[in-house]
Amino acid sequence: MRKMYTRFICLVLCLLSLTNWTFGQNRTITGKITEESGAPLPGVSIVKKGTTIGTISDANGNYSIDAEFGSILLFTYVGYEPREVAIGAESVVNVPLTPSMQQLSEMVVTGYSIERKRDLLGAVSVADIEAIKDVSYPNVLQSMVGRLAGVNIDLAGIPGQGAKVKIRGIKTLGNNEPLYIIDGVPLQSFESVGTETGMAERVRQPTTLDLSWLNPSDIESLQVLKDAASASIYGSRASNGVVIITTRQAKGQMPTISFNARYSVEKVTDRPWVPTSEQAATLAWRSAVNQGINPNTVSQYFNYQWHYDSELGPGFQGLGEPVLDQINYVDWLDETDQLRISGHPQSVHGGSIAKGTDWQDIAYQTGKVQNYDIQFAQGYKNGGVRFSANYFDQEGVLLGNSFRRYSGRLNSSINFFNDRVTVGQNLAVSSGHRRWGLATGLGPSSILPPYTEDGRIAGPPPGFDRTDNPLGTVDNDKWDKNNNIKAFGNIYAEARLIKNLSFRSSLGIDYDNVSVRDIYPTFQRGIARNEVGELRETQLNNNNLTWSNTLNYNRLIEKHSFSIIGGTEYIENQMKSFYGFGRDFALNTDAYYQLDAAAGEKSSGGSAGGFKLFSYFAKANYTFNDKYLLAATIRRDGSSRFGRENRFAVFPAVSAGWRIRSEEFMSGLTWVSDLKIRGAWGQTGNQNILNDARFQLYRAVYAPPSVYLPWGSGCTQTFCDNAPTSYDISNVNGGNLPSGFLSTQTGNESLKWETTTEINAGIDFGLFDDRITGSFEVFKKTTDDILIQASQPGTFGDGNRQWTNGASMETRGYEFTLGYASETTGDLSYTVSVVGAHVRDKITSLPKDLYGRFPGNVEQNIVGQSSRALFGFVVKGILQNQSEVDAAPAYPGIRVGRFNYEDLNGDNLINAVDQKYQGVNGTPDLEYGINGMVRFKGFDLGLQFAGMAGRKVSAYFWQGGSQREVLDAWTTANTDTYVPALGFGGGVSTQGGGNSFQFRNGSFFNFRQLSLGYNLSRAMLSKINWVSNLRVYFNMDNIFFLYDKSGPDSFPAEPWLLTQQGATPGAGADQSGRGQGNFETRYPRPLTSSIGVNITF
Amino acid sequence: MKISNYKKPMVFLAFVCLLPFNCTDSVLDVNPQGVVTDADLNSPENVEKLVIAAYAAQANDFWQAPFQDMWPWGSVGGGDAYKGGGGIGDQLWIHWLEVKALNAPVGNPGNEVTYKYIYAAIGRINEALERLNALTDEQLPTRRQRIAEMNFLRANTYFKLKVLFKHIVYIDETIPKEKYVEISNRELTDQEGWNWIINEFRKAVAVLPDTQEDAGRPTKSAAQLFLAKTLVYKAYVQNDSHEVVSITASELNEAISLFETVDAAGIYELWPDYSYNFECAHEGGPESVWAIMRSLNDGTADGRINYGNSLNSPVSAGYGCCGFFQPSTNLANAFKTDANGHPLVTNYNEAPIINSNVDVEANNMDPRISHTVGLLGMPWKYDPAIIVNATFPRVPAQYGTNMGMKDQELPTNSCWRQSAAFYGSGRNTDVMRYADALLYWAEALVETTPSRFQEALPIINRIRERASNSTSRLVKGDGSPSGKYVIGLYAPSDFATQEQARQAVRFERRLEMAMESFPGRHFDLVRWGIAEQTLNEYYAVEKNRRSYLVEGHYTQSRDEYQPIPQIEITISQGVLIQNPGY
Repeated sequence: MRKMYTRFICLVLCLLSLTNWTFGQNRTITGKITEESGAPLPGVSIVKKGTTIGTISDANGNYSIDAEFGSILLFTYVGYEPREVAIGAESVVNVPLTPSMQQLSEMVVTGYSIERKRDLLGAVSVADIEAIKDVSYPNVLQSMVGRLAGVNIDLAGIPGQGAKVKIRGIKTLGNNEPLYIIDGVPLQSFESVGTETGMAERVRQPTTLDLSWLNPSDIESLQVLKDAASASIYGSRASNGVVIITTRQAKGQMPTISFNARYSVEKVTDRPWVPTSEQAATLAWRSAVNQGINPNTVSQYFNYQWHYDSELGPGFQGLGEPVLDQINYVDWLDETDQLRISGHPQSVHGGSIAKGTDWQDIAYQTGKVQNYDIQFAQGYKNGGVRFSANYFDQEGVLLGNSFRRYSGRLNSSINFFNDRVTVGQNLAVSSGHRRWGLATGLGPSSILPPYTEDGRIAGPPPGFDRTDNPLGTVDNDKWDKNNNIKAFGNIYAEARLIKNLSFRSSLGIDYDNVSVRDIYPTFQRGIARNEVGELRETQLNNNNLTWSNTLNYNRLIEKHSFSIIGGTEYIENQMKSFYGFGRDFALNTDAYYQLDAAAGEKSSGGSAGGFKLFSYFAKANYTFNDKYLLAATIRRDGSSRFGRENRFAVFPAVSAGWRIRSEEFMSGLTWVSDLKIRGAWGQTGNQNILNDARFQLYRAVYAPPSVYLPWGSGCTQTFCDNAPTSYDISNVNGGNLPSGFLSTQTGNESLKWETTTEINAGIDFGLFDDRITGSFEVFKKTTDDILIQASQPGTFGDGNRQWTNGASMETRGYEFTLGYASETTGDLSYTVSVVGAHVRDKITSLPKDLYGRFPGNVEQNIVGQSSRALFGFVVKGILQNQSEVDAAPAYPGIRVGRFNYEDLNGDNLINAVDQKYQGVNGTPDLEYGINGMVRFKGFDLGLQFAGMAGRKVSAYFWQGGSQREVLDAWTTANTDTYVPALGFGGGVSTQGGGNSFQFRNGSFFNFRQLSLGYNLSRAMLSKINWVSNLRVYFNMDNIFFLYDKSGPDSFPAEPWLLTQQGATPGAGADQSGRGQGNFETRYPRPLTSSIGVNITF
Repeated sequence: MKISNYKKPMVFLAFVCLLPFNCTDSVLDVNPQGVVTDADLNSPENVEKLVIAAYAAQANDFWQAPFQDMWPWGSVGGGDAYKGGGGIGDQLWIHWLEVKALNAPVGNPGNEVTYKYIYAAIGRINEALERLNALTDEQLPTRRQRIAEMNFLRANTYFKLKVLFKHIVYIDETIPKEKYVEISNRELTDQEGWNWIINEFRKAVAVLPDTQEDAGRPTKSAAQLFLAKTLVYKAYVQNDSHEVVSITASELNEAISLFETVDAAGIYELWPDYSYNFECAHEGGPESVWAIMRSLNDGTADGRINYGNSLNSPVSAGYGCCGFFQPSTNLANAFKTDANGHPLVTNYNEAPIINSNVDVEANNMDPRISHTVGLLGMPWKYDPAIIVNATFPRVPAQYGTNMGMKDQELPTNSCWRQSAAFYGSGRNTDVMRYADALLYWAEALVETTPSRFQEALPIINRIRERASNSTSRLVKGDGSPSGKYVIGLYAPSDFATQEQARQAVRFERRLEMAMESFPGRHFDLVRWGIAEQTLNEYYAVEKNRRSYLVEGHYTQSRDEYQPIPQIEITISQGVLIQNPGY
């Protein structure tokens, strides 16, 4: 560490010593940049080609730059064709720019450097930030769905929750999240530091890689480095791809103030099906009589009058077809907590008793989103300052969910010594306030009324399921708080040392302070109650420092162009957490819930952790005659997470390209405006494991932060880091217990980096003057030494968590982008673009003890299959009568109305070996997006569609049935159906494990976005001369979904989410037959309508 | 400084700054915080703490791994109780244990978790033993005794595994952890497995002191009784199909002499009132042989209470969750007595049916029913002010209205605690109480060769006499008896034959130990070799009372034991052998 400080001091001295020097070698070139019409263009970037030296035109389009004779100035501006101008004798160079719908030649930030997009050799997606500026999401990633080829974005939908991003599919069995770099500073995830601490899940989850703290209006550019060759400059942590975000700087010397305001409403339009009381009663009755059980003994909610009618058919029991005559419902009458049969005059059901309470009516509300931004920017001759402030407030569509954000950003820079030295900073401070409410619109039985007669929130009465009234759960959480203060930014200095050689040093910070206040108040609602109030306060600090130093050398010698970057990077992370718990509060008020006021037990806890990374890296680009392009990268990384033997690893990459268009022989093909082929090979690493994963650990667990039950923290069916070690050996029943230690992890000093090797090949083309542009890429990745937790036998006992480098995977795919832009002459212009991607993963090797984590049986295992393979029985149809049953291969529970399974091994018996792999869960053959933009005079209309084709999903059947199709279940009177007879509890009888009946078509098409904007013309604005730009817009998101209705319609608006995101890879549905229990994914995706205004002064 | 001069120092400084400085490995060393390492634990003080941690693991049972109470396997599996709770799907794995039929797949999550938690407890014992072995008596004066305690704990823990899974993996502290996966559950035969456990108990008997300062540590006599119990289990020799093929007299005779020794010493005795066994206020009394220590107000958030039965409270006022573990009608009927106060051994399950206070007042009843089964209209837990009503059970239409009382406390009791949505008590969990030992003693006398069944008579009568003296708290609000309690001692004529004595002893075990699940009725039935017959008779009648039991069917040579969790077989790559029938 001492060395680090020495270096820093050395740098400071370096900079201080510069103050006495002056510069002034070059001539100053000035000029004016204009549109074709002659109107000045402010904000145009002027870069001396082959260098990073540049400036930006001011509000009148004027610029000034120092350049020597013979150098080339590159003029770029979003939406305009770039121009290159060679500097001759003249010192005034006026440049007109022609508009372009194409932005092929944008500059792209590719890691410690900027490159022309047309020179890229790897797979990089550049986001169209303009197109999403009116979108109402707090998190920029949420706006990117369907816009970036090969980038899958999974939306949580919950206010303030992040989006899960997967770049080019799954390539490891652990964490597949990319690395985020903002203004050169990596964003640090808490996820890997949290689990070792025993922190409550609820603290960790909201703070994992999540960009909701970042104001989207501050984003200048966003690009995604997808392949290893592009990403390997970030070596150590880049195997999942890199998302690079650059924030806005002041442009031009005119002071600008702009103000945005937007208001949105959110509505749930596509609801899951939930049975009415009558349907639920009928289903329960039907499943009971199918079993030969008296239906009046199975349900506490209903009472039936019914009979057998042999004239209608034999029925299941041969007694005749059961006929339901009447259903009697119970109501809850609050004054006695007793169940009563309906029809009672005191029934509190306002509506129809047969319909019952529709909990979705209660749980859903109209969501409201407000967003206000204000920005001040002022450029100077020697730098610039940009300040922005933002207020965002979202009240979600499900009760109790909200997110508020206050954020501010200050980006500034100062140039010294004739622009030879630049010192600057970027800093954002954000305060986020989340409230978690309902996770689903589903409630208890529809029999329960929402309110009691005297207007209190009704609770489940005795005899009811304990599922609480959703109004009650929201009420319980009303005082909970989850606040996160984040500071993120950097200070940097850049110096041009000698001609073509520049040096940059950047010190970045990523600081989080999370505080969670979790109150379990006292309440009483039927059998749901709590008699002793509890308070848990948690604090977590996470601090990440990044110090990077780079040297950049550029040289253009006739036709040879070189650029070389070399550098070092040091990252240090520290995390600290603590919590306090207290129970028994005399008053049930928010103000009284303070730890000091607790009269009962109190306990506290806390932990600390951290990691360090150190890296050297270098990158060289070489271009000959703008035709042949070569690049090579090497990075050597060391991580504190690995033992000394395996601490460092080297990640190399090489890439090459050939711009065919520049060859002589292409000169005749004038309709080909650009053509380039490229190929790349590279390696990247992954160290996404716990900070202390390699150590042998013992802990003292006197009192776990919560009860040590599996729903408490740190204790799962697999591991139990929080099983207490304290025991009342002397039977004194109080005081301090003696306590020992338990083993929580078995060490592995030979742990090493996980490595991904990727080959990428691509072609970029432009036709007809770049009216049509496109690119196509293919890739193959192999990931070896995957970091995975070994499966130890149950006999292992405590400490059965052990990390190893075990499995290997292979991921292949292709992706394409195609665009068309109309002529821009006249008032009307339009663009259309299509992106698409296909990706498939395959597990190529796996330690045998891990087979059990994935679906399979003794004869077939997951090796050679996707990590998300669907596995199960093959359903041929339904057994219609006893003779079919007798002829069918047997299985336990076989009977009329149940499935006829395919006997795969021909032994006339259905058992575990009669299952096979049947596709991939959630991963489509093609994921695509279609984006269109039409401009007419001041109007612009944007349309966006996205979808997945060739996709299977596994639909889970809940007890009581949450699929509408259970209404069509097989009976002796309804035989023409694919839905089997109802079994116990109204669920569909299945063999256990998956089957082809559950594997449904999950393809969908989503009309995602429509936006309509109008920019007031300059002529109109000239009357209000203090306004330079005024835009109003209307915007709709998530307009409709088209999907196969016979598929899983439990949550139709969410086919995005039926991907088992939160589940352990390979873990099946839990044994009760319920779903994956990942309730986050049940949050609906609302239709959002927004109006907004954008004024620039 | 002149411009011409700036370049050299700048270039120099920049290169110094960028020099790949000697980043030694130590810069990247980050050690874990708030944890201890392997070597830290070898000090005598810390080894003592590891012994505590081994005891603590015994108290880490919870509702999905209730390996102390074992009620899902013992009582629900043995026809003494229904699963209860919120319907079949609520803790479905216990429903599978209850009906033993069709769609119970090999992957029963309760079995899987329980298997892990029991081995976690064994692991802590082995950890402590390994480090105890490495110390000397000088370093740790209590060393030999602690080793014996760990032997006792390990034997009892394996006992639980053995009655659940029969063929298990035996691991002691000498085997390195990485070898565990290679050890088969068939390395020892069934009988050799019993010997392994018996040998552990013998080591404990040899060293443990007669008295212990800490109530949680076993004494020599406790070890003798546990050894005797294990000998009784071992005596019933099973074949590979779990059928009892012979009964070994030598084991029973050794057990008898152990029981005699301990009884003669007068260390344990029966509480004067049966009810004391089921109340916090009397925990640790003369009847408790060895118990799991539970505690409250001990600096932990919710207390180290009993989570193994935390689902079993009524849902009525003062409680709240979750209505599991409801006594069966068959069990309630078993408490009927004849005019002599003797149980109706052969026809107890015929009419009249015992459902409520009306039936308890109309029929001759063994008073223990009112300590065990909370029937409609009866006082709850000796409090005449609280009468069991239809709000006690959770889904009465499905599981009836009987509620279990033995593992409950009154909600007003200071040792009763709500923990999150659940409830539990700080009452210690008796792993053996002396009545249990007496019943094994009587059983051994009946089954040994030659049979000494007449000697079982006074032992059984000790138990019955105490039961008959335990009616003073079974009263209504006006002080009158809450039922028609008629219980009588057996006369020598009732023990005229070995078969008569056997019936009486077995029935007495059910009446005395019902709803106290460890080991529980299922394990008794399997030991006696009558599980298939008894339970299929149970299903045949009980399905008319609880219609979901139409699914119930006991399969001989399979349902005696639980399947080895499939995940364990997969991980072992076939080293573990599945039990027959699964």
